Amino acid sequence: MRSEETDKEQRIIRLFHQGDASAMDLLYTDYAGYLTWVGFRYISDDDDLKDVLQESFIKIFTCINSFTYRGKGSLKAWMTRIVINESLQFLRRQQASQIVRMDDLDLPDMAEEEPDLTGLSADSLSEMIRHLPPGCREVFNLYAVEGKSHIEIARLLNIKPDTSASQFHRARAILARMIRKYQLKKARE
Amino acid sequence: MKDQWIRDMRRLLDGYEKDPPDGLLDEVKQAIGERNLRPVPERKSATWPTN
Repeated sequence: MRSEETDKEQRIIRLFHQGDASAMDLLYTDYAGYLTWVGFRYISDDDDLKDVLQESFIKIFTCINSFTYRGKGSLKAWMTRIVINESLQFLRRQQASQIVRMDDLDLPDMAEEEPDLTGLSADSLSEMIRHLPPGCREVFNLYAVEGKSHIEIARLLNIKPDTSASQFHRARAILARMIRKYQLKKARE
Repeated sequence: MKDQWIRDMRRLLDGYEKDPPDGLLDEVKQAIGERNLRPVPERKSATWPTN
């Protein structure tokens, strides 16, 4: 049985190949909200996010002819990779990433604390992820949200796998503190 | 369980979306026109807006 997602993706690709102008609108309507969320968690400034999304959609719309459909979710995964790559390139250009500089630094010991997500909404959590310090934010997203390994992240960001792991632990500890602070505030309200 | 919180986090964020910036699609279309890019290889029956 074909899923709705499969039909949606194949319909969009077909329209692009037919040169139908409605293809851009349809793709945008179906995926802009999701892709904005992908960029949102990497780019903390709204104007910068708009620039990154603009370049991402230009790439999506102009390169979709080179995309090969490989089953359910493959179009979504391809577009996700484009937004992530554009976000990382932007951060590199802005030299916002602290990762490389932290390669040679001793990271302070961070508590092995795991975030307690009790009572947290997706809205609150996404805001917290967005406000993790640059450097560890990229690693956190790539590892915890995208599911990449530290070796893959090291290749992507041109850092050592150990640095990726350290940055992830740092992000996790910071996030745990942010959540605890938020929960305490909510409890007092 | 180790990293259970990551699984919980992914579940919480599953299907989550954010409103795209205002006017984004129009600006994308405008930029495509200004840069003389075309969304797909030009075809006889193509109906893409031209700038």
